[in-house]
Amino acid sequence: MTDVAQQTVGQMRAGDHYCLSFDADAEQRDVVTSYVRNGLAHHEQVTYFAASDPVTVLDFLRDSGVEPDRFAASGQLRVMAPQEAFLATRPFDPDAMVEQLRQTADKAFAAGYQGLRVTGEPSVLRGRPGADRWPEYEHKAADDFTDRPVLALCQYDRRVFTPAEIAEVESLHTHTVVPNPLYQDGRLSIFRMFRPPGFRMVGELDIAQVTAWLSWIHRAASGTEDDVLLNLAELRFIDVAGARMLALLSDQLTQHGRRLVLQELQPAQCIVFHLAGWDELPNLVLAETPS
Amino acid sequence: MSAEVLDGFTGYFHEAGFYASDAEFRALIMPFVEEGIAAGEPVVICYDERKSDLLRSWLDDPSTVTFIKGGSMYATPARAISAWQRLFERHVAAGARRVRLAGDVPHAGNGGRFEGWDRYESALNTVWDECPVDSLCLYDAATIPGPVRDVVERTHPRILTADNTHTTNSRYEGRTGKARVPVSADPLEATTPDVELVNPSAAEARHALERSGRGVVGDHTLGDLLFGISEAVTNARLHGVPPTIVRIWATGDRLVADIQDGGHGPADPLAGLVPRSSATFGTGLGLWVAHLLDIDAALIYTADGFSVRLRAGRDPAPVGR
Repeated sequence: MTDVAQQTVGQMRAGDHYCLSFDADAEQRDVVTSYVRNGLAHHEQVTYFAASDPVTVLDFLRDSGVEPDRFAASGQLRVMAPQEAFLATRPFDPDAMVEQLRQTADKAFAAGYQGLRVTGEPSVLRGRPGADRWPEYEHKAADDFTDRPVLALCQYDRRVFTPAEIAEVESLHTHTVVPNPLYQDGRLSIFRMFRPPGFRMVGELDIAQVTAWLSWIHRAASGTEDDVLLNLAELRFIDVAGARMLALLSDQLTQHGRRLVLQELQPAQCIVFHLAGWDELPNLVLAETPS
Repeated sequence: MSAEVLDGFTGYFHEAGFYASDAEFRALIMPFVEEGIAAGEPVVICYDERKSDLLRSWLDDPSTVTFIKGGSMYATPARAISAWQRLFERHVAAGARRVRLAGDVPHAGNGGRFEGWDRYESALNTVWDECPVDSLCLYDAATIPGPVRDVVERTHPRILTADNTHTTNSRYEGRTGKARVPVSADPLEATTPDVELVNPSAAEARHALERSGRGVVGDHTLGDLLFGISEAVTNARLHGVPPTIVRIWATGDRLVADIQDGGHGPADPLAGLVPRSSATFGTGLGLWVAHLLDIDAALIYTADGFSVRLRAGRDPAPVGR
């Protein structure tokens, strides 16, 4: 868990310069697809600085139902090959890259777009000349666009960068970006986890929500044939009714030979499971956080 | 108890006795203990250190008896029922035919607070009805408050007198749970509450308590209170009569929360003392769990309605209600 504040991709607004650090392709694509789709829907120009062939990006956007070809044809979506952006100069030159961004923004606004939405994959720079000047670029780019309707999402692959490098680049941003919640009510949000696959519950769960929540989790659990993993590290409160629903879910999964794994259950939230005897259910696995 | 009293009896034998001196205490407790030892029955004693030391000094072999510290066993009535239950289930599973236990519940005469233990003494007659257990509840006649003695006499089917005679108790009221000592009002309840909510959701009540209580008590205790208030509000809204009113008081070192509704409260005398659900995933656990936590939970029945009072922090001086 990072110390940098988190923001869901759907909440990003003009002026935001955030980063996405991911360790699964599915996570990257989930966030980036939302980011691109929101920009296109808001009549912003979207410019994507890719780490590989633009066709790869267009393919995954197409798979996600974004219809990238139509927007690429109109000029609202631009996917740039590495040689057109991060690798256009050798060594990498932060000033040249900022100038390219500035011209991109000028043209976008001149064309009547409401804003410019930029995203890039700097992993392509790793090991190349000038890569050490990346932080300088991040600072200059952020300074340059503070008073213009520009959004930036910098993508960092945790499988490419070391943990120390990830921590350093995250510190260059005020927020990291996470996927939009799959479920949300007034007090509880549920996010997809990608490695390992599962769901992260954030907030509180009590009797007022359990019917809607149970209906949702049933649908979600039926979409996989594996064990259902719920990370409860950020579940601040669960009442007896909420715990009962989890126990019920595990009982129903038992019929299909699957388990419900409750990961990082807080000690305060564990007590009801222990007292009710539900910690002994055969297919309910409690992985508590040490007190 | 004597063999003729037992005479084929397999269920729970609940007996009270009153002593006025250490000699009378010895006259009441020693036959109970020695008969158990002679019959090969596990004997479990749960008194304060002084009485436990007395017993050890009277026994030829104190290792034949299990001594438990009273403070840990009698933390709350619900915990005591659960802990005793686990204890004698272990003994029975290990082959014991019957189990004997004797203890001293908290009341003002021994430095404790009797609130809730009136319901406990009555509830045992139902909860352990089928259990092969003999329990002897001895009270110091010199220190037991009058209202507590009244409850004891109305909740025990049998009385053991100082001459070691077992008699049927003519004052025993059965399993009605009506023998109660009024719950003392908390001094804070006479003051203007810091928060008063009318018909709040459980979440609104929790959030109000968290705002008032953060830093007043430790995080663990506050967590217990948050659980308790949530379950109490849920119960009031599901089973009570509107309006549900939540009042919260916070001082430098103490938190009090009242959750009141206009109903009569749970009619079940065992509510809060044992899990009231026969099904694995049934309802009826919230009030019980609240009574197992490290907080003071009291059920208060009045002419105006029913309240659950939750408290934590420094103990107040009791006042009359």
